[in-house]
Amino acid sequence: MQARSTCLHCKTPIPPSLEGKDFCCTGCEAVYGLLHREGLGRYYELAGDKTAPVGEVSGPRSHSWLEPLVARAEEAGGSICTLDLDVQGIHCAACVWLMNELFKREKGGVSLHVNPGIGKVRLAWKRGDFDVERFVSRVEEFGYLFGPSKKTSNESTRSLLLRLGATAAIAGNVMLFSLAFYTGLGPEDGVVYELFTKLSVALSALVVFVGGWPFFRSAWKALSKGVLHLDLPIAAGILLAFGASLYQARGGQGELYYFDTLNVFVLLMLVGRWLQQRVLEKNQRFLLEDVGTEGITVRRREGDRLVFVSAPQIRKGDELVIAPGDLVPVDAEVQAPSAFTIDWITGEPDVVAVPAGGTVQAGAFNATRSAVTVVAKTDFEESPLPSLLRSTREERGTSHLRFWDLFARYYVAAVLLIATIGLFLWLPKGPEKALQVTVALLVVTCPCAIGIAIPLAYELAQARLRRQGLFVRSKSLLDKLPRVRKVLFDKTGTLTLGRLTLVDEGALDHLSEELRDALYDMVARSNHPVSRAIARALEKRSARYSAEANVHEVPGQGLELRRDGKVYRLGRADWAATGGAYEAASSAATVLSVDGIAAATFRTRETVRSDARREIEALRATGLSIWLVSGDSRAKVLAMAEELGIEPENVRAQMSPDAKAELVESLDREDTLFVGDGVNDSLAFSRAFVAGTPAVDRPVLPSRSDFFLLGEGIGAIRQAIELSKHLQRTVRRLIGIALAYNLLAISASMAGWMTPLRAAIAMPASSTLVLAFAVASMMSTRESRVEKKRKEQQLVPA
Amino acid sequence: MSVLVLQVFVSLMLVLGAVLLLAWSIRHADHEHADRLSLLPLEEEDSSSKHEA
Repeated sequence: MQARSTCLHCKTPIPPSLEGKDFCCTGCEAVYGLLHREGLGRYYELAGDKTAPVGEVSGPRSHSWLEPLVARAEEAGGSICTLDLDVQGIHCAACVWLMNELFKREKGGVSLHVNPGIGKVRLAWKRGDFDVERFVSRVEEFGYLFGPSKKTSNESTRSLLLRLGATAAIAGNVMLFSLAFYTGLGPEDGVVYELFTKLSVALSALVVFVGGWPFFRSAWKALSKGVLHLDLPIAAGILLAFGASLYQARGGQGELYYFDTLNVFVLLMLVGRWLQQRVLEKNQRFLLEDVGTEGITVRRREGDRLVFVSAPQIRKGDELVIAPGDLVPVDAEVQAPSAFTIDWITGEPDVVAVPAGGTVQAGAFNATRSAVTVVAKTDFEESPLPSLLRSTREERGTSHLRFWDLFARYYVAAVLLIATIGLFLWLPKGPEKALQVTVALLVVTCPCAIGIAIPLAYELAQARLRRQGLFVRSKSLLDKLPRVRKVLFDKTGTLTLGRLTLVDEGALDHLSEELRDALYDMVARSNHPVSRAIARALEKRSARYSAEANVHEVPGQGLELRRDGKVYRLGRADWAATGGAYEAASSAATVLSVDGIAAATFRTRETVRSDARREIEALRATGLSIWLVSGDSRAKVLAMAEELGIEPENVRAQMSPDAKAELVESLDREDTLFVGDGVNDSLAFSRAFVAGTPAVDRPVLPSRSDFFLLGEGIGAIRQAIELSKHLQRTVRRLIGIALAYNLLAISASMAGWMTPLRAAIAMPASSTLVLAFAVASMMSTRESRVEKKRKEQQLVPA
Repeated sequence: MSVLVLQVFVSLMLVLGAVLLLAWSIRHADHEHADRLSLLPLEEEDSSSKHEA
């Protein structure tokens, strides 16, 4: 029996390393099981193929942000309480159904209003009779995430949709009236002719005003800045076609009206504009507007314990321990001289020294090798960090963007020039004929390919990538990807699945209390992944924290603590266990020693993303240069590079955030793609030509990246590059078709053969042609044909 | 003739009604999942939601 090729939950291809399994990631497996256990299998009937991968399963989230919101809702008057929340992960109607089903199972709920367009819910419940946190946790088990209500609906998209709807409804009626004119309705028909003419004029005026407004506004804005925008010939075409039709209407020549063509023209242009706006907004709104401050944890001293708390829980006066490389979440007073970097905010790579008693600003990173204690000067609510995190990545000017800009300018100039030539050529035959030719020229040269077919091709490409778990955030990503020649991967969290875990936590139980506390004092002050893994395990064992402990981090070796005349070390075996022979077999492990005698060893596990090796090979096969850039030790990074088949000369280890950024800058010829997952990668992000992240659950990066990934694999990156090249070819062909059509149409118009009836046929026909070509081309990539073949061969279990 | 005028009037009222309904739908943000809403009346009594989405 052949194995499945696509995930049972999200239908994305299963990475070869998971061959034989039914799911692409643990998240999908968990959600699939849960849906069936809960009797919610109908979700799949409603969802069709719109489900997206769930990704790595993370533990239960803190809902500390929810408590004050619920309390505030309960305190408001009335027996029914209401609360608005943002939700991440809504794809389709099936998600709405699922949330409603789960809501109905909770006691005390009154209503649930889901807005899937922007990802918001409004909960209403009977006061004191409904557990909001329980409901939120239940829904989050299915892969959704809730956050405080911060998203607002985009008024411009809503208004564009309303304009589109109104224009479509009116255009249908005007076309029916025009049919009567084309089939012989004339002034001799008296009242009917007069009625139809008046209605055509009135309704078309409405369409020009309602539907044409976005084009008039943007054309005027561009003109006032001295720029030739693509909306200029659209606006001019609309106004001239309307003016000429009004002129003909006065003269009583119904067959010379352009009303129906005008209406269809405005409608098609609005469809294109709406498609463009909708696609980007949909992807951007998929994530919580919340910048992920819940995901920033900081060590807060509480008596003799050091507790990890999420940033929003920080209050003025809290004593915080900032480990090397950690972020300071609020403006704070430094207790001992230290140094910080704020490069991701200012772009300046210099380290800033702060004396004892000095103030360090929110967003700074500890740049020293020791943990530093700071006292929060404000509550987190007053911290400027959220607004810093919310700042989005700037679009960098590229030759492709310049191409569209230039293309639009030349197009506008050419259309206006041709229309003017037409006017002057036909002027000797009378102003009426000259106007007819000019209007025909402006109407038939409508940029349908650029206005509708190209946005549709982009929409199809993005929809395809969404299904693979890649969400496009920046307008220019698909234009920039074909230029990418160098792909730089961060290691931990990007090519691996993030955090390390201890292979044998039981080793900690054999330690004396004194040794355990000393170990905790070391690891609690370190940001190293191994330290974090040990710290997490020790927290479960109630280890105690001592604020006085003086822990020193030795670069590339480990941590050292001197206490009561003893020297405790945690790190490399040959550095920590110097006082006694140590088994060579332990050299790969982290060793805890007391006065040079080994006391315990800790082995950690790091899971490489399932398809990393295959994808890196495939990316190299397409001629791309692959780099591995990491802050980790050289030995570990080289070992991973070897496992993944990356050449040693393209490996950089022990890289600081600045060094990563410098490397990206030195390599970048408007052709680098950086994929990273930590706040400290944000500087490299800003220097890279294209940046992406698999870290949707961590702050900063999704908002600063061009795309983000869901799911356990990185295969979508290669697919995005391939698809972007295919899209580029499609766009070029579309422009070719449009130019050929325009050449024919212009010739016919110049010769005076173009009548409103012919334009009414030619313009929608050409639009349909380019639309059909765009759809056919984007639906049939080489990969989709291979995928189809695989599906045909696949044996789907019952 | 009067019938024709009446028909045109009715069709324009229908257009107006459609546009108003669209505006209402956009305002209540249910146009994104209209497919599911349209099927709600066909759902079984026990699963039909009192909680309208």
